[in-house]
Amino acid sequence: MFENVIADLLRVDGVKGVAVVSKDGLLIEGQASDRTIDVENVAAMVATIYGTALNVSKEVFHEEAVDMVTLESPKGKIITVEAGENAVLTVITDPRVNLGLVRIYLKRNAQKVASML
Amino acid sequence: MKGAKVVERMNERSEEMATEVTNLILYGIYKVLGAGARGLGNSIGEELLHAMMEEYGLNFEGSGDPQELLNRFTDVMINTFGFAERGEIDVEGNRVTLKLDNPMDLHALQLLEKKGMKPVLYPMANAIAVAIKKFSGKNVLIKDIRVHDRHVEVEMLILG
Repeated sequence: MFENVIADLLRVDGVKGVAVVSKDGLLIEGQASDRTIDVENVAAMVATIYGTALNVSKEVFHEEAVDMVTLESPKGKIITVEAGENAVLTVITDPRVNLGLVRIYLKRNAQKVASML
Repeated sequence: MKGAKVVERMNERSEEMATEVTNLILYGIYKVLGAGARGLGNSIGEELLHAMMEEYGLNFEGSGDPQELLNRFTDVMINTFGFAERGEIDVEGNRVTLKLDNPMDLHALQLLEKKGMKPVLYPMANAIAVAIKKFSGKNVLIKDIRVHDRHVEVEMLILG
């Protein structure tokens, strides 16, 4: 269903994994080049992080809206954006990825996912 | 100060109290995580389905049709677990609405709404979603959870 979205994002230099995840934490579709990553487990965690970020935004800014959630670790980044009412799109990257480029690709593909759900 | 005291139970265990404590735990999770609680839904659904199949010996295998899975699951939920007084499934294309009359968690959901928190996860619906994914390969999104005075409605979307 989302093969093109996943392939498009995996083409970006430094992107190691992509997942389309329902906000309930269900992995709809995903792929990771690192076989040690349990994508289903990560999907549930990503959905929880994104949802919790929404709650923080509601508490602090009085608006339940988040453009993007970025988790930065010395070993890499996980970037998540909303993909419609019921899903998020997330990528796992190397630490030195071109963030600007990843953001452009993420936003573009999130719109595609949203239109298909 | 040092000492020990042993308290032994003298009365029957109160299921009502246990339900109340569970409801309060649910409320506490919602209070901190808010929409983040929704992300827990699939994992809770997996565990619930696992318990239903492994511990209670319920078998959903061989039922690859989402509609049939929905019917069997609802039957088990009502007649085996007594989770609600009555269950009704309404299917319209790929959109499914599950209506449960007086479910066990109605009070917890009403408490959340009273505090201005919209319920975002529903373990029984999450378990149904996991069962459909496991046995038919189709993904299920939980679109909406509506809480009424005497019943709860969960709207789901089965993806192609």
